[in-house]
Amino acid sequence: MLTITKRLKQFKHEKRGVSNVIVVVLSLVLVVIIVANVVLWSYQMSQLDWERGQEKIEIVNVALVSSGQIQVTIKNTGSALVHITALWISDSMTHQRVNLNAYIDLGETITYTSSFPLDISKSYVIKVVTEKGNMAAYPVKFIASNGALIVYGESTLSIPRYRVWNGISWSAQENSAPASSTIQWVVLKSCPTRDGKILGVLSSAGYLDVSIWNGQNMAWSESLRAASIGTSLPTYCPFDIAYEQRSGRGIIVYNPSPTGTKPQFRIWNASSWSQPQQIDINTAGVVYWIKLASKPNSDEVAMTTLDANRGVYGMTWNGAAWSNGLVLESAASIATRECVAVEYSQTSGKAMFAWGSGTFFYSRTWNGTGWEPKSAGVNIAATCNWFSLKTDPHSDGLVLVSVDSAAQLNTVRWNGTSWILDAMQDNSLEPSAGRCADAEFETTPGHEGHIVLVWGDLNIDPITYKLFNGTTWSAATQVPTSVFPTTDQQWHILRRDKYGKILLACVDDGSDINTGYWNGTYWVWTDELEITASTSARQCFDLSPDAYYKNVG
Amino acid sequence: MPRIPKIFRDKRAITPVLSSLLLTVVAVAAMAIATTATYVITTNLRDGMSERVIVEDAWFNNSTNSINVYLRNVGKVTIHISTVYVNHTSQPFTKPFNLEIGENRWLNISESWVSGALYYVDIATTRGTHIADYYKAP
Repeated sequence: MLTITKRLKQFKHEKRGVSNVIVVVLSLVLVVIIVANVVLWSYQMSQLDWERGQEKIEIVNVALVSSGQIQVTIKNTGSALVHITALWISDSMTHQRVNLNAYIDLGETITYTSSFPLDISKSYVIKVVTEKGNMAAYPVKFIASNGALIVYGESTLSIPRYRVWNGISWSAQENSAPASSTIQWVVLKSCPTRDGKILGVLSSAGYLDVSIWNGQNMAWSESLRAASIGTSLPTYCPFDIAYEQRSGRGIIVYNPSPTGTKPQFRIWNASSWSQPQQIDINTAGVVYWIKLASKPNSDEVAMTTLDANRGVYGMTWNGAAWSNGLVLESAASIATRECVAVEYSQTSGKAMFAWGSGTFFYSRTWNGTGWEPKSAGVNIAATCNWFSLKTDPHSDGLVLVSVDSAAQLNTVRWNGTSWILDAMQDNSLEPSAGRCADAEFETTPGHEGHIVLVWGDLNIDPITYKLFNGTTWSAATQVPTSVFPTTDQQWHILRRDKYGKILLACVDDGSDINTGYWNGTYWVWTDELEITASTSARQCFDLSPDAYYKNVG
Repeated sequence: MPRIPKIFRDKRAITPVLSSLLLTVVAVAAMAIATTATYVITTNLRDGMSERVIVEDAWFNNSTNSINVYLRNVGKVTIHISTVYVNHTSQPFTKPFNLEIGENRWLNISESWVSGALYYVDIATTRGTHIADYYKAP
């Protein structure tokens, strides 16, 4: 202690060296400040670079949905949260940047839909950029798939048969997912965003079995038994399937039981089915018929039902819930035949609900926000039995095909504002136990807005058809049986593929299922696919062209 | 005549005071210079370290016959582009070209590019950061 005190006193009196100490200390402070700054900033920027290095994103898929919109599926494959700030869509002529503000958690996948329209058959590079500067690119060149699938019931077998159309010919017959016997109704719908389809099969045993076609794996999922409706109801078709056109989710609506007055629905989200939920409709009878239609570029789906009391109901699905329900008619023409239809006008996006009442055909439009007044009745001169409503992809035009109780064939065209009843197309169809007629709009260059109408004429083996050229209908023409070997056709379906080819499938009174297509000029027979169809009185087959676009980029 | 206080008439210790004052001024000035130098050095170092620019897109623009490069400042300081080299040759570009933090836009480089050729585009900032890569004209 004494020594310390002595040293302090000595230091107090000895001034030499103090300034040196101060200078050294201050210099050290400056050096420390410099070093600390450098170290701190270096650390911060290293941290930034490290964080950037942790980021990893991948574009796992780019799908083209209707009218050129793309859905970009982005996955975070890194080990940090990712903030996507930009989407680039580039071709040789334009480089389009779209601002994004999406966060993706570790391992998570998001799907972004861009409204920037892409041209078919043109090469693009799709690129996403993160806030920290990482990128992922995906080359795309979309072409419409020209494939199709047909599913049909054979004899009393419980397993539906199917064949794949590759644009030229049908594959050999194979078995789809098991259902039950005897197959009465087949509904097959194609996904607009993926190479997939949903199949619904209703048998005379009353079982509704649903399965998924994966076109990439060329395989069916296991069947889901969605409903058991007893043995009486399968005379009718109380179910239908549709896809939400933006999301690509599938929806099936069905009568769940023999006494079901409220339909149920399930959603297919590309990996699993949702639980069944009830749709509250305000008609009281057992639901006999259900028809769905998908709104273009939207997740909206329109539904119409016809019940045992001849009540017709209309309702819409907005992607999340059913609403806007309305009793459209309380005295439809007939309950036991499908005298209801629904379809969307493609330009306006309005849903057209059509039904028969007595000998009159009526319609009512859902315009997206409200119901428009009921149309004036169009008298088709006999009790409405079977309707088929088709839409023109290039306009608001619609065509309704009517097969009535007097076995007469009529067409009524909607020009966007009003219905026009054409002169009767034929007054002696095959007996009206089935819908032996159908129509489809043409889209091939020079034929846009034209209509092809086919039907089974009474006791006439060849297929009969007419063409509407935008102004007038041609005379009825027969496709020689040397070209298209049919007998009296009981049920016709026409479906148009993305290239404008109009595919035809029909079942005749010999229980043969024949297929062919209209190429804009003439009919081409593509094979007799089945010689013992499970029934010729109902639609025991369905043909669905691919609705997605293939990326060949 | 007023009387001058004794303290002002006493000449003793003035020199030491003056020298002390002078030393203090010199010391303060030296410290100020040192501090400023420190600030300048650290700021330059920091800014140099904090520059980060990414090329979001490179577009060989047919209609303008130029190479358009979309830059984004992902660093922590404002960027000033000073020079652009294409294949090691300085090329004119739209000046001045500054990017605030987080800002992004096109940098248009005048270059008569040839389809199929490979171009080495080197963009230099005033602080000496280079953003360089090869791009092939479509």
